[in-house]
Amino acid sequence: MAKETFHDETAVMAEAMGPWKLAWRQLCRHRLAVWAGRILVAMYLIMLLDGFLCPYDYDSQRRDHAYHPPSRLHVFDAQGRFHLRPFVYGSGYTFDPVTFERRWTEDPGQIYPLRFFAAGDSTTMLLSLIPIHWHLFGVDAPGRLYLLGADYNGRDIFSRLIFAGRVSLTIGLVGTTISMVIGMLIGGLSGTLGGWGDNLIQRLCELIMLIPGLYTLMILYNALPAGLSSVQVYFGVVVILAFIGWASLARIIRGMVLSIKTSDFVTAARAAGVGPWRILVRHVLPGTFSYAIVAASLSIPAYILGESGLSLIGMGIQDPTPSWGNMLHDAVNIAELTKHPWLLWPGAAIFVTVMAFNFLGDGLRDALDPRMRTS
Amino acid sequence: MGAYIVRRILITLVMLLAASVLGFGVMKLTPGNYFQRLLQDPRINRTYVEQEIAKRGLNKPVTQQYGLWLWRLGHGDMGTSFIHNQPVAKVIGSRLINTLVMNLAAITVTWVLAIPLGIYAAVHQYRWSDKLLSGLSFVGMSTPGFFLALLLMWIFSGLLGLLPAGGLTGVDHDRLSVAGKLADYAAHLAIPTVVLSVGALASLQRITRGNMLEVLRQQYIVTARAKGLSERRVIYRHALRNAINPLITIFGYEFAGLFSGAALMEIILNYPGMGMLMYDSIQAKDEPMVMAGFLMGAMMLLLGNLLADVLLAVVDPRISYR
Amino acid sequence: MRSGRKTLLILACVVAVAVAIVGCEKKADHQPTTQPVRPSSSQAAATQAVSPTGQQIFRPRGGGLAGIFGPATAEGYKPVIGRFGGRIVLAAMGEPKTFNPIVANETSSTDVAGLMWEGLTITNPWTTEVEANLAISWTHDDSGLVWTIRLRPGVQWSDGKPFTADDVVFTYQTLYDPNISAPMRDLLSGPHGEKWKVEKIDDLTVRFTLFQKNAIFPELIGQAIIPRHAFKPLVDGGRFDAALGTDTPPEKFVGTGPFLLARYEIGNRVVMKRNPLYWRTNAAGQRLPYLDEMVFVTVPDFNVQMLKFQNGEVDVLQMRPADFPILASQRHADFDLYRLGPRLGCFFLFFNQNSGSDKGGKPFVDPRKLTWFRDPRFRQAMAYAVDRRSIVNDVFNGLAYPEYAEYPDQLHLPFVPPDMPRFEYNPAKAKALLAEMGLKDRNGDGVLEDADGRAVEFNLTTNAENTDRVKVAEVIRKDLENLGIRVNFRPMAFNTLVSKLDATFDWEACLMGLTTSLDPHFGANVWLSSGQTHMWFPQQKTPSTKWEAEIDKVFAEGIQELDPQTRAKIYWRYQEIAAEEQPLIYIVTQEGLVAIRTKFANVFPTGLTAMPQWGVLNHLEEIYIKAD
Repeated sequence: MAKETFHDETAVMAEAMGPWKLAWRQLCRHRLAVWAGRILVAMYLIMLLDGFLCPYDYDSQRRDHAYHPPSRLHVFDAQGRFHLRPFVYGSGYTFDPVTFERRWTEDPGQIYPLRFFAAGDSTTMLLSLIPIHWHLFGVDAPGRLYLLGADYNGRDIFSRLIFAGRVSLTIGLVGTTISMVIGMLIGGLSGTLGGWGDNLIQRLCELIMLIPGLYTLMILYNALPAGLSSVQVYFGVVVILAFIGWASLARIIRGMVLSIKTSDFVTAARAAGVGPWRILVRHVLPGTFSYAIVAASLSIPAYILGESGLSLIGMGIQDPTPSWGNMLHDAVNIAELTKHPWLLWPGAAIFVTVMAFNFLGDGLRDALDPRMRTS
Repeated sequence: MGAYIVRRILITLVMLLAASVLGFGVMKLTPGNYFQRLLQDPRINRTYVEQEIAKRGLNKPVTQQYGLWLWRLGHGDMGTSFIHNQPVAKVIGSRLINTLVMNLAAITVTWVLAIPLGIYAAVHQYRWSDKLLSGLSFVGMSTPGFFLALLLMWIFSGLLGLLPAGGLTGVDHDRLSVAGKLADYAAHLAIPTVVLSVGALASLQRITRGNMLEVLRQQYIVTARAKGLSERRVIYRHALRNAINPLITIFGYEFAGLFSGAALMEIILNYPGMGMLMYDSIQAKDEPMVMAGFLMGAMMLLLGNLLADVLLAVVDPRISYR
Repeated sequence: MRSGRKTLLILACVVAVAVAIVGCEKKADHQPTTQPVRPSSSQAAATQAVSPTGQQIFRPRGGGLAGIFGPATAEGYKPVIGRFGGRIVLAAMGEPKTFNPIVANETSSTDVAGLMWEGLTITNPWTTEVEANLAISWTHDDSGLVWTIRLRPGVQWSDGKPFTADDVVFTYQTLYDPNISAPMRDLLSGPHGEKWKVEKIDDLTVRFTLFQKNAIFPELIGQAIIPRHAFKPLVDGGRFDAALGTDTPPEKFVGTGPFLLARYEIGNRVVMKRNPLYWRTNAAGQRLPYLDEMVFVTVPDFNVQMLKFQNGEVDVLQMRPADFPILASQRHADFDLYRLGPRLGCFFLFFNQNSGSDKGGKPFVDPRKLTWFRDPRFRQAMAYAVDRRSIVNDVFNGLAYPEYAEYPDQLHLPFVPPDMPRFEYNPAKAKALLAEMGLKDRNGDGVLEDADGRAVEFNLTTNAENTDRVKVAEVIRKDLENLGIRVNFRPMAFNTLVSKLDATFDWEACLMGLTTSLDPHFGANVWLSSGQTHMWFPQQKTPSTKWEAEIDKVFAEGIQELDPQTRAKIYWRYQEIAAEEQPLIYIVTQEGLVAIRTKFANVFPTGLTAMPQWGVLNHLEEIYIKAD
């Protein structure tokens, strides 16, 4: 008797919760996806507060600190005194006269203690909307604190890594939104129309997919006019990437629509006299949402990887605007990498982000597919 | 179905023509041509460059150039590459085989490993082995290909010296025995194959796992188990066949990619394949080569799509083409 | 879960308290006690040993580390008698497009063709004088128009037939043939298509009759000579352009050079074998070269080249500056390193001074910006603004030289004037010059404006494939930003860039490089106002400025002056003008860096080369592999 009641209760609960709520509960059970989600939220938050969190602006150079290794924080100075606040020494390098390796030396006479909420470079945060010159931490000029080392211009890699999130973390969102919207509309339309309309649209999609991505990218990139600001180039690149991506999505959506079209509820709606456009938008497309969400979560990392590939061949976001892709440009040089392994941090950032999106996508896929439910 | 296929093939030919027009137009969109770069050498005269341009007909109107290209193509002549000064067919020929070998090796490794791993993961869902495989799959899918290639080459070639640093064959290849030659090829193919299969293996494994899981929940599986069949029989005789079916359509898409190479990875690994060839040709505006490669890729893609569509209809009775 | 959360909360409080104590203090005056440490590149500071023949020894070989040497000297060139046999493997950036020495127009092809066919003369890599090769003497008459060349007796083609004057005559006929695209033809022809007359006097004597006196005639006859008996049928067949391509069977290659093609594997490597009938002999009268085989492996990626060198697949490596410290500190090194001094080649920033308009009447350059670019004060200010020292240290790892002129001072070339004006890094002077032009920061926003209040801004570009150039452009961009000039930098693909520079002219500032040769006349196309590589304003119908007209005169005069001393001084004038007017603002020259395995002996490198790899393989025929 008790068992039957239990079953009834869960059934009632299942009916009371909408499909989205059920999906959410399922997602929360997928521990990896939950952690992935948390990591991503943290990354986006950090990205929004970038100007405050980083000690330096992304373009802040120190020519005499080329390839500076990560700073060492000390608490005991050369005389053995203890400092409550950790500090860095002033440092510089000379070239070994024979091998031309950089030999770094610290000057115990120059002590730069770590400060919190210190004034520093004028920079911005919240996607460059809010100017700020207070930073969470830093050291007084002319000392420099390099948490993750510096690049060839003496720019702090830690700061650049975080500022690069502005590009790398948003490019996926913007691009995916564009290609999703276009893909769903066209794919849905194609599936609903059927017959000649479907055929024509599918051929057009194929025509666009025929042009190899690299080809289009290179040609479109070179067609961008010369005097664009970095933001405009960014949007140019996103639009170009999205332009290549929507066609395959449209094809798949169309396939799903073809299947859904024959469902009972669609036949019922048609019998009830609902117009084709309404059927598409209100009845058919929502059936593709679950797939679309999953596809979106998987296409975002594709954009991040695409942008890093573009930067590698010199056609992505340009210096001085950092993106994880163009920061990796230096790292693809084995000689530099062996001497300055900290150049790999952007690769780690890409890796973590892409992994997180993949795990999240996987969790979403499991959650949104009613056949995968575990009760 | 037969009529559908014939119709599609005819449409494919029309599409190829349209694609060639599109491709030609896009290529001509950016100004400049291959020979202008010679002007950067201070010792070379403008007249010489103009002579070269005239010889290839690059100063004629675009429509005329396209017509000429189409005419030659109709007679089986794909033109002469500007960069290599050799017939396009010949240059592509050798590279094509290299790419084909690499892709076949990658596909074989991918499918041979992914399906059993996917089945295993499905059967042991949510156990630590499944999670480990998931984790590794994601690692594979998340690393940019070119980066992985560089890393592997640095580790196995630079640090450990176990594998050669890119290329197709060693310097002494011709002096080796047949077995030695095969080993030489294998050593050179190792890193490209791993890089190519890692991502595909991961996603295929997950798809297989997903399909298996779905199938294993079906009623007829429950029935089979209730009938007392061994677990092995249930999995391999009943579940597997239905789980594999949807994967067949993926084959169609793999077919499309057989002749295309991953340019960035080939550049890093110095593997003489189609990817590097196309990349260099596009950069340098080697028009005959670009058009030939483009056309070939287009043809493979269209045939691959057709194959996938046909297989989809064969496998899923809900879909029909009229 | 609950206890975990509690711990987290307590921890957070502790951290917050600590931060509060330690953090929000008022900035006390912690003045730095000394200036920040500045790096110094110790090229001059290091005390180096010098061998008895004048070769610099940066580090002698020993302790398992590679030896680091400078270029050999003329006095040090003493090849010993070596062993026959062995192979050398080189890395090539690209594949050869053809093996035809008349038609080949880029280095991957000319490198291979240059080993199979030789010219009448060669240039001594240390003294830069022209020396005998297939010709043993060349004299001119009083008019300077008629040259008589005596050919070397006893030279055979690789198929055994004798080398005679017929071959020379045939070669020049082919070069002048209008149906054949010979890139070198222009150097041998006059502005209206005038040609040299080349006649056979006897089997070993040739007479050249020029249309105009030509001071570099001895260098020009370094052009490769092809065999009449083997190649005339190809020319007569009318398809010589396509002949001797990469699909030619190796037996068809008949040359006088030290190596001949053995095998070409497309996409992979070029294998060359020793020419048993090569005419050069060693001191014991044995025919050179010593090496049996020479292989070029196609490796377009620098990373892979280094890896292949490190694992032994390749014997010679032309290093990037970043590779040097790694190879210099490698233990158990079986190679030596050579620092060959500044390479022959220039790298410069330049501005579009083209006052023309396109077919639609729109000027190529915004007229406002054109007035800046055409003002020498602007260009001088830009020269003052470039921090060359930082570029040397940060982009080239200290292994480059700041450059202020077309030819590096260190090479002591005779036609380079002493004491040219140099615009060394001085932002204050740059600002002063710009202020003189009326460009100052009028509204305190940190950006310079002109008299109309519009910001000083322009677009900078370079070719995207060259990472070093992109890095240099970024440094320059920042330097100019500090000065108050807004620079939009966007690199582009080489082909697109070239078409902008040569065809559409819609660019503003560019960073490019050119190779230079050992005679200024080879750069005529750059300096003549009508030249098409006159980078800042090509193909002018008449010179657009007085100084460009003066440079035109220098080149017209210089080519005809046959006395070397007088001639050298003529060319001083154009370099002095260039130093004053700065149409090309030179940045840096890289150091030539090559690694080569110690098993090779008779290695006498020269620094006077654009391609350091060939500088190390100077006198390749003498190089041999030591016994173990």
